[in-house]
Amino acid sequence: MTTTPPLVEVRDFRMTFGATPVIDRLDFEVRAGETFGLLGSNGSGKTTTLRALLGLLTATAGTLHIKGEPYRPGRVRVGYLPEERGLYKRESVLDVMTYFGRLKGLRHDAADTWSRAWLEQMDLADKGRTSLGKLSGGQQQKVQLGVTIMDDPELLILDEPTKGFDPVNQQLLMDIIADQQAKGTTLVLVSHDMHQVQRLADRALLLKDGVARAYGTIDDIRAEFGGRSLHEVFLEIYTNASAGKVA
Amino acid sequence: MSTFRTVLGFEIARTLKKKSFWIGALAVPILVVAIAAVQFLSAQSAQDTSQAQAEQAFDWVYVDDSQLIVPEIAAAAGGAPVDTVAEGEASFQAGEVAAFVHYPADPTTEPIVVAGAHEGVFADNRYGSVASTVLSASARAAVGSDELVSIAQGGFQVETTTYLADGTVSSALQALPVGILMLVLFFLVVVLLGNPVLIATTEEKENRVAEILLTTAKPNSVIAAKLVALCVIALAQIAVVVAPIAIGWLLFREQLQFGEIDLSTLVFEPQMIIIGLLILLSAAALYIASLAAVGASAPSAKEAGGFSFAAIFVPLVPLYLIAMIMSTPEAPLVQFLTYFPFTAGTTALVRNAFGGLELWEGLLVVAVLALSAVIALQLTTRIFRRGALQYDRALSWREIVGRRG
Repeated sequence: MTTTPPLVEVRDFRMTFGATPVIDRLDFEVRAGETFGLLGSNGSGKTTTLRALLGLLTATAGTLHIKGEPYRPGRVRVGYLPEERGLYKRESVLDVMTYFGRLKGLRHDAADTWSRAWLEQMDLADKGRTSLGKLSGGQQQKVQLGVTIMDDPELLILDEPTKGFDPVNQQLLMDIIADQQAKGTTLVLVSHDMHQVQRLADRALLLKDGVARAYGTIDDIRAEFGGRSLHEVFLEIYTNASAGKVA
Repeated sequence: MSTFRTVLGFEIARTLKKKSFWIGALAVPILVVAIAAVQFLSAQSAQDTSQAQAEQAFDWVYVDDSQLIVPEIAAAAGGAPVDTVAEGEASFQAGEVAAFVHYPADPTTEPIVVAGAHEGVFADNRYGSVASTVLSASARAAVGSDELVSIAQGGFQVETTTYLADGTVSSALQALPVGILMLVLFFLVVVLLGNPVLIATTEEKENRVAEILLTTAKPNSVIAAKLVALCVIALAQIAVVVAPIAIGWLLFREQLQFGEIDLSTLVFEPQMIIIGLLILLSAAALYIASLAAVGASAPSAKEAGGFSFAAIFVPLVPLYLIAMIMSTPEAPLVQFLTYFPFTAGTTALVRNAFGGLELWEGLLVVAVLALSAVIALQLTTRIFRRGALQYDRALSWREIVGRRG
């Protein structure tokens, strides 16, 4: 039997900010093609883990690999929607989309064609030459989502993806996730919306204060906590200091 | 390289598409053209008026206590002698003549007193002008030699040649303008790029685009491309400012009273030019990279802009000691300013322009500046990468130099 190597592999990851430990001995992997939930409350270390994985922060110790190596832009097609998100406001929508397409490795024509098709699909075809800052918040979110997936990513990382999104765009995001899952894209979903993760993810890691408290398939985690929902598991871990396990 | 080209193209294009860029860039040349046009029209009008008034002779009387005035010369200019000051004043007050001039016994120590009928500020100048011209012409006639008069008036040239220790001719003076030009170019870089470089990376933070950008492109490529784009834009700005001035000089230099610039006297000394250019480029690189580092540590354009004054002031500091730099380059303070990275550019360019920089010193300064620029660029990249995640506050020194990030 052959096993596919994990797309994301994190081993003995530790992070301290000054004297403050933020992540302690974290081990997990994300398998190719699966949807993985990275869960925890605010300050639990989810975003720090992602930033270290993407090379924005340097780990105090441990290894964080994507496709067997530390992440470098251009080596792996990664679509990243950070929690703190935005785009250039004064430039036209098409210029911004094409720019990021070019940075992601697309040829200019391909980036332009893809961007126009996306805007058409989003009913924003007439906004291509409009400054991004002049679009409504919801329209800007649509452009942001387009930029995130425009190079057909192998790994799509969504950090609190529904944060700030209106209901229309939340649904659009769900459609994109479903579409990417159907294509076999590997997804990492960072959220504290347990219902959403239970519905979408194959496996999950639940962090509390930088320590893994639950890790495995959604079914395994629920079974370990007496068949309760992921939401209830989350509440148990965050209200009971001894609940959960070290992964 | 692809990322570098993409960022470079985007940064240049977005700047050139801004109305504010073109308003700023074109404001100076438009102002220059407007001032030149006004000056041209004004000079033309003044010349016409002056000529018309010169042709309009007037009658005047004078008293000559100096005994220098030649009556024939005065008469040719419309002047007639009178015996006493009282007689002359009476004649003027009665309106019989347009002016009365009293030449004192010693015109070199006492003023020539002129009383004239007011006919407008510009026209009133003619009384003093005629009185002076008549005295000068009379003095020349007394000397009896135009050559002596010309020499007395400084109408001669001196050609000085100085020699180096090995007997070859020194051309430091003729090469000076080229050296000064490099200093001027350095200050143009300081003035034009100071603020734009400071705020070059703040937009990514303010718009929360830094995190996406840094996971899509290598930070060193992004920073390098942004800084090169700013240099290209500054060159475009300089070209926009210089082009109309150069065209004006070529086409209208006589009308605009630009004066003659005799380029044939300039000497282009290869060593001075090469060392000067290397200092200019390395000093500009260090200046730009250092400012970008300061800007990258600030959370917003407003906070980064607070450093503008210091950014422009620091390179100017050595100019306060320019006399010492020119006269005693071996002084310890000048030596310090020559090799301290943030003052080296200005100090070394001044010394190079005035011929006070040995070849080895110049090469050492270039090495110091280039090394400092590389370190500053790496620091900028590091700060940009770390600061990209700090949206609401400036990075602390500990965060900049610490291992994390």
